[in-house]
Amino acid sequence: MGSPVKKIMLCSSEKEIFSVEEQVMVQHSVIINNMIEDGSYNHEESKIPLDCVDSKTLKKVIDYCTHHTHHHNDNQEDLEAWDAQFLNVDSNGLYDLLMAANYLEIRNLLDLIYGTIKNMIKGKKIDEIRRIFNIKDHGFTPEEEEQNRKEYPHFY
Amino acid sequence: MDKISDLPKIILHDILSRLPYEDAARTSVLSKAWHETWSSFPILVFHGSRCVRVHVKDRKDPLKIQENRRKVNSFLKSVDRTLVRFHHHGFAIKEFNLSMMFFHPLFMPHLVDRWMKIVGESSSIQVLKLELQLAGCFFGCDFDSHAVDNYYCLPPDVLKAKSLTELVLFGKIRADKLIVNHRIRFPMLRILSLVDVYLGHEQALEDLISGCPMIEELILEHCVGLENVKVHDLPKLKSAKFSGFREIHVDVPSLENLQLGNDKLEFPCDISIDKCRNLKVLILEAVSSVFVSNQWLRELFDKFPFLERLELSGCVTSESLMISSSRLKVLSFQACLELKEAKIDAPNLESCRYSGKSSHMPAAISFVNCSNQVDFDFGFPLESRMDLKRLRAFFQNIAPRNVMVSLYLGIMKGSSILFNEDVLQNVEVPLPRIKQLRLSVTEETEELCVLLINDLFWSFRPAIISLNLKLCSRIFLKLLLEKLRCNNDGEECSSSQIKCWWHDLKDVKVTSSPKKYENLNDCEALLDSLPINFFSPDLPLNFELEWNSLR
Repeated sequence: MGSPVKKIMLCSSEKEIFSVEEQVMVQHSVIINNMIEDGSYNHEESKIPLDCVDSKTLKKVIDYCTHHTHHHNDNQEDLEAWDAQFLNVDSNGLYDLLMAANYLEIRNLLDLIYGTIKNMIKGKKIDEIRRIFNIKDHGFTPEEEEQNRKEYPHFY
Repeated sequence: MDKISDLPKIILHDILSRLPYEDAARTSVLSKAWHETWSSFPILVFHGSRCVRVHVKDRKDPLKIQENRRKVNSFLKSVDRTLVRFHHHGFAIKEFNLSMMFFHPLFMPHLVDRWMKIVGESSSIQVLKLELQLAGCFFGCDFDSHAVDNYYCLPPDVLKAKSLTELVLFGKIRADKLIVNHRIRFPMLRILSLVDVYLGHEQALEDLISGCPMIEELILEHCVGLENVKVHDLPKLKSAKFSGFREIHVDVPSLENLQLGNDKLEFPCDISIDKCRNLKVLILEAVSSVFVSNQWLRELFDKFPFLERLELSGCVTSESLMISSSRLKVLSFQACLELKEAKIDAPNLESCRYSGKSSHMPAAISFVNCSNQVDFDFGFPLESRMDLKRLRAFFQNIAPRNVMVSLYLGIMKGSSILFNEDVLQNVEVPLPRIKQLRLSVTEETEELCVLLINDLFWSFRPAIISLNLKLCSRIFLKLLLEKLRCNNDGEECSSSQIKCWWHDLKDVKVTSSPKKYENLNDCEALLDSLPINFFSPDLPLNFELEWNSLR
């Protein structure tokens, strides 16, 4: 066991510092992997500033990467149940997670979120999707909405 | 605020591209923001047959012809508007997929030319799929479908699409001029599929594929002007399908998956594929030049030591076959009518499929050295002179006994099945285990249906019964439901010592889609609510049966 686990520092938009196992982030985030590999991260003094990720979202992202690093041998069902619980957030939370995963290039988290949004659309009628996405003002004029309903009755 | 709608377009496009096209298209009317996202979605699919449907009976009706013309014009306009808009704004086009069953060789080529030019010039184009069929009687005029002049001539603009990874051409399309003048070079092309298109001459294919070194999947079917397929020098080729040629020579060591067919041609086909040493999957469909004998099989497994899947459909075989392979995982015989007996010695076999034809006795199939987890799927349409007793004997002859068997039975209306009087005398013999019994029964005589149902359960104890309601008569369904609910109070059990089958039935679970019919009483309501005919959508209904004891 000897040597202590290597850590890296991530800094959220609120300037809160998160200390994470290096291996966890390297495995999941293409961006962080590149920073470590090309030596642009200095373990003594650097912290990685993530100005577009707030603390709440960053904590979730770290949770995701940590769980998937330490539990990747779990059976598929358990992992899927964990993922489903993890993504049990409102559409704002989903947006923040997606933007963070996109910024950090965490491919499997992106795929998971894409899949979730996909399922919000797939096989559903317009009014249902509007409710799910919380679209209160669709922005169409009454005439345009009327025209759409006439032209694509099977969508509604 | 709906933040999802605010996501960058590139992300939303990525999500939309993972959805079925219909679902993606629906988002165009969600809101103004989604409409904007949709209007630059780089996957463009235009399926004319979805907008314009033609019925044969209407083809001479002048009113219908006029209506068709109007619909076709509006379809063409919408394709044109969209492409011109994409071109004008410089939006990326990743996929262009156009299908028209009403191609008019006089009025439409210039339009399609314009679209091909725009598509060819899009630097991001990856997938081009084009299907054109002649309008025929569609506009009240006839075209000679064999005349080359009536084919759409693919313009050289397509050649500019260097980023293309998938090219699919289907129908009345000429690709010959393209090849002669320019030597196609698609450095990224991975999938090439040419079906029914005009290639013109023997050299065309070689010219074409020599400019596409990255091809992984190649499909060639009934190409006009091409009788011999010779493929070599495609170092990445993994999967190929060839159909309707006189000669097929494939010399590609990387090939793993090969499908050969000869469906529309009478003449035998000369096949040479011996150098494809890494073949894993071989599918032969009605290839009359192949005679499947024990020797042929032995040589096959010698030549292709990695072969895992062998499917023979409509092939001529010896009456008796011995299939012996340590690698084979999947084996399929479909409509191989000469086959009377097959011994399968394949320790790694995972599934075996056999489907016969009515009026032919099923082949006797036995497994040697096979795992008891082999999934054996047996399909058979029952007609006259074929009785369940023989089928039951067939199943009892399958060794080992605990092979997981699925059975499909199709029983036609007016069939004169010989029902067994002596079934009861045989029940001491363990009943064949059947994982799934798929049934379609169009018989409409109540008496016969009752007999059939009793006979089926005397013969088999399936764990699941699957029905396609569309293909079952209402009377059969009603009777089956009654029986499964154990409404047999009025019925005397037979004088025999042995209990009747419904006493062994412990529990029945119903699974259906849509899900609301989840118990047997609801099923009656389901039947009453449905107009069941050939045109209704598939209606699967499954019964999971739990039996008291499996003797």
